[in-house]
Amino acid sequence: MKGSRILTMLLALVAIVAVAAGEARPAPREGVKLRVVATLPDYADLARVIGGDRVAVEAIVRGDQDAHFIRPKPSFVEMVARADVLVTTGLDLEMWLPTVIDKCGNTHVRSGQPGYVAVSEGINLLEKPTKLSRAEGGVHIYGNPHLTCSPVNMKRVARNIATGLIRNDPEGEAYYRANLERLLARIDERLFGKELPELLGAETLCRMAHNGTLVPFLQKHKLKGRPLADYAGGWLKAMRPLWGTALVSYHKNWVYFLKLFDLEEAGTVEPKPGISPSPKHVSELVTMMKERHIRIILAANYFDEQKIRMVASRVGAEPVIVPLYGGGAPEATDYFALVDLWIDRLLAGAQKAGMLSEDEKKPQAEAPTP
Amino acid sequence: MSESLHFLILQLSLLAVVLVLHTYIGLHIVRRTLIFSDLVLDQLAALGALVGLALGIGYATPGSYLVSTGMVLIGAGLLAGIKPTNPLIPREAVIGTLYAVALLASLLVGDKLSGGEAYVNKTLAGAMVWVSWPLVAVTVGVYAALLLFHYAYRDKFIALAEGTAAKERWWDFLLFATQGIITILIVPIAGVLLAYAFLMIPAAIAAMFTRRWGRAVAIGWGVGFGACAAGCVGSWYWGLPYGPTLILALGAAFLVAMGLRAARRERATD
Repeated sequence: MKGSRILTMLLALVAIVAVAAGEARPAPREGVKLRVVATLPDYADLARVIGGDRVAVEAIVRGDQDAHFIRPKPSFVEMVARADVLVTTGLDLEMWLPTVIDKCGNTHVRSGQPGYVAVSEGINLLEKPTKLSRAEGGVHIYGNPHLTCSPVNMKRVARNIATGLIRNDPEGEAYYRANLERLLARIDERLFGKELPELLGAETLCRMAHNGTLVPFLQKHKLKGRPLADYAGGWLKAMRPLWGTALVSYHKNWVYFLKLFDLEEAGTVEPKPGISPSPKHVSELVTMMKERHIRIILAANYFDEQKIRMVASRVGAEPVIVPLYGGGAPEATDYFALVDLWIDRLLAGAQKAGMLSEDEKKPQAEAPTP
Repeated sequence: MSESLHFLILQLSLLAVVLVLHTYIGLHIVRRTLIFSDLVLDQLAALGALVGLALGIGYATPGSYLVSTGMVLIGAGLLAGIKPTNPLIPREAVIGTLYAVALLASLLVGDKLSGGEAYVNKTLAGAMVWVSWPLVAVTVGVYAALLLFHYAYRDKFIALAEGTAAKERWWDFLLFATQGIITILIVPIAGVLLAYAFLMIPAAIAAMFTRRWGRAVAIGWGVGFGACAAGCVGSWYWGLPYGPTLILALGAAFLVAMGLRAARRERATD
């Protein structure tokens, strides 16, 4: 009896010490960087910008990989084991991550712990399923998790990353906040230009853009005799020739991007996410594209290019195949370069497909000078 | 021409040609109980395509076929050359090991490629729904040449199957090499799993009912083509993924054949 009581107390003590060791991780000492591991390269990019000299950042997924289907490697476990902060979507995109976290033994970065940053926090997700069934294909039960394709979402992602860095390195708070504000301002300028945020406010613009009401609003309303759309700059202005255009995407990666720039997703090559198209679906898609004169197929470059080009050739459309994540192509050196690449390739595809007028063919808005 | 009719004619034309040679070679494999040799060659063809991608050679291009040819010839050499004399080591164990190594090598190479997952998936699942008439024409040409070769030397190959061939290793190598050449063409189209099904299932069905070569090829081709045609129509009508539906249709035909065979046996004993 006495022996079992001692054993129970010892076990309780061991449990308390283990939990305390996992949770109470001291902030980095001066000169020692916060180790940040991000699942996606775009999160890593934002973490580097916000964290600056105070962080050392690594990404698990390469820019040309499908984040759904990563085979966990021992090197991932080692990476996460050493991490002070783990940045992930926090939805059901990186389904391989829980295995890696379990194996690494780093309790500090488990869900709910200080080192865990779910970047989707606070983002109003699109395409929340009404019916949860495997018959619908690879359904994402919380909503579409492909957040990175909208700069509006990435502002919230940046805020969540900053919150995580501050939680784990409170001494760096002022530094992180200053970097965050500069980053958010830069995203606003690159997305809307200079004039529109001054007129309507960046947050209002972001809210409307996320809801898909921004472009119709800009087209409908005027200021000083000019449509508000004329005051748009940056990526919004660059995409103006394609506002209201219908296109087909290979997989539902692009919903946030399409909603932001008022593009219509008329169909997908994959009828249900993760399920190869049947002959009938391909035929119906081809027929629909011909009837509606849809001339662009948008796809991430980790999908089978042959299928995309085959569908495109059957309807006379242009395949626009781009990396979904930064680093997925040599030009996509950071998130801003990545969005530039998407827009440039879409416009080039539209031009080749004969969708742009002579006026619209001139070079698009350049990036503002730093 | 409607999309559905165009699709059916294209697919059935390809299937009609492919199944002749696959059934014939499959009969050799079934009779010699080298069941997994085709999986080895299919996977080596796939590995060759992935290695080609790693070398900057486009998938399903002449250069890619060349690399795959090199791989399957190595595989044909190993399959012909490795014959354990120890009765405790079945030849199928060696073949199975070769398959596992080829598959894992494919996964490792695919891991390093840009878009590697898509290519690995493609080598397994194929892209038969996306075939075009030029590809059918090339396939018909190569298959016709191989059929002629096998017809010219049919006595040698049949002797090999019956265990009476002289220079066994040499004719073994030629059988595996010709089998390998058809896998180089069919794996990019149908994928490893469907290519294997094309080779094994019609031959296995035919082997249940006759030992005569001509009749076996006719039965295997007829049943295989019928099952694939049903799969083709079913995939279209029910909107099912094409390759898996063909495999299921062939599998269903195999089960029906087994049932018929069992029923025949029972009637014979009554």
